[in-house]
Amino acid sequence: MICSKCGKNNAEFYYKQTINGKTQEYALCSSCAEELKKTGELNIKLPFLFDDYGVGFNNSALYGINDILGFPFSAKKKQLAEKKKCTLCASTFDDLVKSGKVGCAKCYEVFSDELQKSIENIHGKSKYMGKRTRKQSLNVDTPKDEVSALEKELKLAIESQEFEKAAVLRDKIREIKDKNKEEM
Amino acid sequence: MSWYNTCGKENDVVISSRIRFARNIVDYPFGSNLDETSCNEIIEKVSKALGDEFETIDFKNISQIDAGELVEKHYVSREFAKKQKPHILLANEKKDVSVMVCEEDHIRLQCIMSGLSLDEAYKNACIYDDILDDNLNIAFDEKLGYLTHCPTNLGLGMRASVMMFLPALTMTRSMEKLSLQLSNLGLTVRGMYGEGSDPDGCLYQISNRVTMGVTEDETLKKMNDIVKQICEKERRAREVLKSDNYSAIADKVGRAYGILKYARIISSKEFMKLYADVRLGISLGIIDDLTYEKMGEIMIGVLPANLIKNNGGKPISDYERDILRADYLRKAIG
Repeated sequence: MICSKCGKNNAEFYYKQTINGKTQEYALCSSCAEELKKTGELNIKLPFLFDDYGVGFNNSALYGINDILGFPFSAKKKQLAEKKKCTLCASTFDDLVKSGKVGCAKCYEVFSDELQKSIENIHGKSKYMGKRTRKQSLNVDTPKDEVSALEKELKLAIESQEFEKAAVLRDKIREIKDKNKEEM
Repeated sequence: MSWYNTCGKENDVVISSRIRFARNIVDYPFGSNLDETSCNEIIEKVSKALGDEFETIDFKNISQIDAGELVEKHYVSREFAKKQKPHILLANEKKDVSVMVCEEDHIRLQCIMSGLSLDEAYKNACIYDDILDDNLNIAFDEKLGYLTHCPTNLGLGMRASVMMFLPALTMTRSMEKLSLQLSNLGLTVRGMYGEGSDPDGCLYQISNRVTMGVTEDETLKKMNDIVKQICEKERRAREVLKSDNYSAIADKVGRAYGILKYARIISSKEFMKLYADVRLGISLGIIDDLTYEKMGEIMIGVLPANLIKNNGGKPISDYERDILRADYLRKAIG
């Protein structure tokens, strides 16, 4: 691919941004890319602009505007990424970039490399610290384990006078016990 | 009684608090990638998980006016009301807990309460979040947390927001600076109806932006602390306005009250200005025969879909609506 600006050199960088539904695409050689970056025509101020395999993220998204994923990376790697499809929703990475949204839970696995940069740009390097889904935090294998974990939770709920929660837990324990009478 | 017409903590400054969780079910595409069959399957699964406690409002069976009423009361988003594919709202009796099914994410669970009540709203929302988690295969990753359609929600999948009434900070032109400061603290400031809406009536929504690297408790604590500080700032600014020029403020408030009570045609834009002046007047003790509860009720009652619905549901022109609004106000506070 030839640079879309000078029309002479080979394009080494591909950059695409969608802001409020308006898409702009650039295929640039390194010197034109640098030049556009300096003049500000490429509306990207973040230092990762020409990372080897990064996903660009527009500044404005940090303020909740519905733009999102743009991806500057080498033309070769772009081609590779284009071929890859999510096994569940059949999205390509280009689909994700166009919409600024992730296609399904599986996409996070299939495109984990491509998405990593963009996730870091939105959220920084920080890891998930929030609550675990109950199944994960209880780490339960058998209904018996689950009942004993729920009973602990019930005790805590009663102690902290969270009676609505306690009632839900009590019903849940009863339900599991009923379902698994033989194992209990 | 609902979030908008009951009294809550810090009600002179804080109108309401809302917690929203974005959740998805494994094995189904997100949002726009969902086909009709999958939407219906998800609707069935979520309805079954939440059980009889929740009433189903199926958008395929309701009028535009009914859908608009739900948007105006903040039970569903504008985008959700407009969707073409199957989508439902599940709501408990008080409607403080409601679940949009097949929004951008499969599940948008929210709890909305009056005043500054983020902690209570969070506890309430968690009860139903746990039920969903027990009964459905929720998309979750050890490192990334809850997996969402939009990567900005990834992680906690939680948006905690507080609607604040900040007339004195608006009048003293402090909002721009405050918005910037809040942004640096990882919070976003928007108008009353979220993204892209204007802060009409000096109403601002403040919400968390950060959903990674923090816990839910930390997020709530930080928001509570900051909101209380903003409350203090606003109250101090109100006192300064009052002590510096009591007559001018009292005049502004009195005129606004007079127009609300006696006018015959009021546009929604004019209403929001008058609303702000009158509500400010209540907090400064200039008006003593109106309550925050009443102000909350009329704030929703004057909105287009609510007005039309309470007038028999017949479509009317904008001009007729402005007349209807004034009629409604005269009856409500006259």
